[in-house]
Amino acid sequence: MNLNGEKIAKYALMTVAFSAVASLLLIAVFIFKEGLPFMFKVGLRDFLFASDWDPMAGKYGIYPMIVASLWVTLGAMLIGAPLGVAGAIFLNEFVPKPVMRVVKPTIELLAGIPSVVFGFLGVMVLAPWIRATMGGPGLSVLAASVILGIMVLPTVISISTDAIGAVPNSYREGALALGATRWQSVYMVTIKAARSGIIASIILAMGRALGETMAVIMVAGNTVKIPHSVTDPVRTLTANIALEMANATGMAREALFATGVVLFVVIMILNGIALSTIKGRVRRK
Amino acid sequence: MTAPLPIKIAAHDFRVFHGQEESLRGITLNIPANRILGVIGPSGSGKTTFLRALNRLNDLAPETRINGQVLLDGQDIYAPSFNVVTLRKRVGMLFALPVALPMSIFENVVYGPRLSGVRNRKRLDEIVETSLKAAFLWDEVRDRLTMSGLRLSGGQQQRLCLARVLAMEELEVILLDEPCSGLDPISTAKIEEALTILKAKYTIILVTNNTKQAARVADETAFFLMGDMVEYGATDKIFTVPDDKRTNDYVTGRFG
Amino acid sequence: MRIPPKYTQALAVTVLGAATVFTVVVLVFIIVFVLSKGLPGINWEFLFSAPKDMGRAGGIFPTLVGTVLLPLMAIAIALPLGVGTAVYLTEYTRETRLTQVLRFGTDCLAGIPSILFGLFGFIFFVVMLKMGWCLLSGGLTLAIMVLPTIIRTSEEAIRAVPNSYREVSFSLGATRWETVLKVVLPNALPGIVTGVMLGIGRSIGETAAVIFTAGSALRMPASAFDSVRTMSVHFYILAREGISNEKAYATAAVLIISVLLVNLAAYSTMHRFIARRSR
Repeated sequence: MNLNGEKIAKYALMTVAFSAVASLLLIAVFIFKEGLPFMFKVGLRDFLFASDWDPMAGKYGIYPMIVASLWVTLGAMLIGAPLGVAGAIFLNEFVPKPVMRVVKPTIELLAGIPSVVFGFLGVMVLAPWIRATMGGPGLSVLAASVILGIMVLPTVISISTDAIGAVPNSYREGALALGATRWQSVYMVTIKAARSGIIASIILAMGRALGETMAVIMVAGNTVKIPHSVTDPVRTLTANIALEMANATGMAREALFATGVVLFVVIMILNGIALSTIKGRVRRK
Repeated sequence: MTAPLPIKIAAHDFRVFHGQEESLRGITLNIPANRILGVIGPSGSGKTTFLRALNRLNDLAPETRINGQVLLDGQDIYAPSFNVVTLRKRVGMLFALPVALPMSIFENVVYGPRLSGVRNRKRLDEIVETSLKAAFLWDEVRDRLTMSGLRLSGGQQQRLCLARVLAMEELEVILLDEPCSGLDPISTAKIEEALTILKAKYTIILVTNNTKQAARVADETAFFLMGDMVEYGATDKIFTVPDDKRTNDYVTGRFG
Repeated sequence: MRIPPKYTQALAVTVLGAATVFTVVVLVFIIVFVLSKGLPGINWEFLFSAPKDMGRAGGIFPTLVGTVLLPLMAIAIALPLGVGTAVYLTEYTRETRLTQVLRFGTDCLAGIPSILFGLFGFIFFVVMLKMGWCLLSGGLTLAIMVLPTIIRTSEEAIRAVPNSYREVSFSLGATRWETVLKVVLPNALPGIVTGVMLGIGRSIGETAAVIFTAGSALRMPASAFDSVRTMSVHFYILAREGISNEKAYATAAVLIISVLLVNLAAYSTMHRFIARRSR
């Protein structure tokens, strides 16, 4: 009787355990079910590589949005990656442990700030400044990149710090014992050793930037146009989905799901690369 | 000639495999009831594996296989129909490192009885008092039963573990795996004294690295070496005129 | 001419330090800025009265209620599922293909951006299951979003429970399930609670998934099938529609304070948990 209860517990838990996988499959199936047929109906060329987005007229080209997402994400990484990695190195190697123990959680705490707040500040503070100093409407690729870059900083710092912290002290001491300065031991040994973790953090951050919606809607301008300069307003893939979703029906709605498919696939690939990079390291430990 | 003692636990050609390795080779042994059996031998000789086989704690280790039989009161404890949970209530264990559960002293002692369904508060109080007294711990903790068991000293925690085992009504056999290895001499003496009294009610099997302890306390002694049981007999004999040369070498300290 | 290593080091430290300081300053500035503009607008009336004139005046009470109810519902769903999964992964199986699939699923789920959750939740709960924009739709969607966090932190907490406790419990005649219930879970509780608080913190700030599933009705919800507006959605609408900057800042301030408080609570629980472990 005890042992029967055991069996029930085990199978109940097993069912529950599949809830995560089941949800994932459900989401994936849905998005693909609604989006994939559309891509074949309209054809990849007219979808991914056409610049005409006018659902009312039956045009579903999302090329400008793809370019926009690429520019904004890349821009965000150009800002966020160096700052983040620099911060991680500095905090781990050149700052006394007690200070690090205060600063790191603070940065992670700040990661909890809702994205809409970032977006709002971008609109109130950053965009006017860009308009005043660089022209254009202010709501632009640049504004979005800066805001996103700041938003992904905690991710980069956090994961890179873990990677750098995981480098065994013996590596550092080995370099120092050979007469290297602290900085030399860092860039010759530690960074190389933590390289995969740092890269993983950047790739993960890239996935986050790509998937960010609310902040981008607020500061990027939402114009459907291929950008030619960083002060041009743009609409990213995510913004497109959010802005059109409420009013879209029929083919237009399917188009949004197809966009979702594109996002899903790209982000899954990015996350997969990042995770396997991290896991490869962990297994070696 | 005295009448033959009733056999509590019998092993017939019992083997234990961990993966490919044969940790215990063909042990055949009859353990009489209400006696203290000392199990001695160097590290890695299979003493702990043997002990853990008796309450099937080995089942928890991955890739463990057994061969042969272990009989408790004549029943094969490894038979598929044998209830492992009941087995562990009849055969209790004390580990080398005293492990108090992260609960109060009271909750620690009543853990077993509660699992068996005892709910009556008065009954539980009785059980706690009786068990702690039998473990020579009652006087020291009677006023702080709600204190966390983790706050006791090592010696006290080990006696708490003993009380915990004694609290189980179904208990018939007590297994001890080097219970005094980290303890001070006074705590050790208290536990040894408790065992000598307890054997009237229970069958006790004591694995120990300390041959002197076996000599003090055990009625019979078994010498294990590299997975084999080399010799078994009355303690006096094992320590003075053993049959096997290896036994002699071990008890005289020629190797350890 | 080679620059002596001492100088490259000084240069490097300066550059790195500047970058770090810049990062910290920017992040702190954001909080300080929003709080300075928003705190003046926060008073009893703001927090506990209903909005008037689409939010141009009055308070944010219904959104406060929504912001409490929605994460609560998400946790109510995700907690048993998440802890159950964690228990199964640690206590009932060894590392096999199966567990790898489970972990992979969890990791993938964690990486999906919130807009896609919003998209899915909209089509599945709101439209297909005909639940409409409501607390339940939002709660279910958020539950799936938060599930990986709960699973991860619960698993960590459960693994941290010393194996000796389990062994002792078994040796006293407990079954695996009894051991989990009486020894493992109580011991892992602080870690699990930390995960719950992190999940709540994330849900409070979530907008994209919420707006498309729970809607944005400004009324007080009377049942799980009523639409609710959370503070972050309210803030977003105020900001984008240009309704009232003043109210927007105030709402943002309340949002930030809530998130910070929850995250702080999570961290302090985690640290007390770790400190207790190492005693």
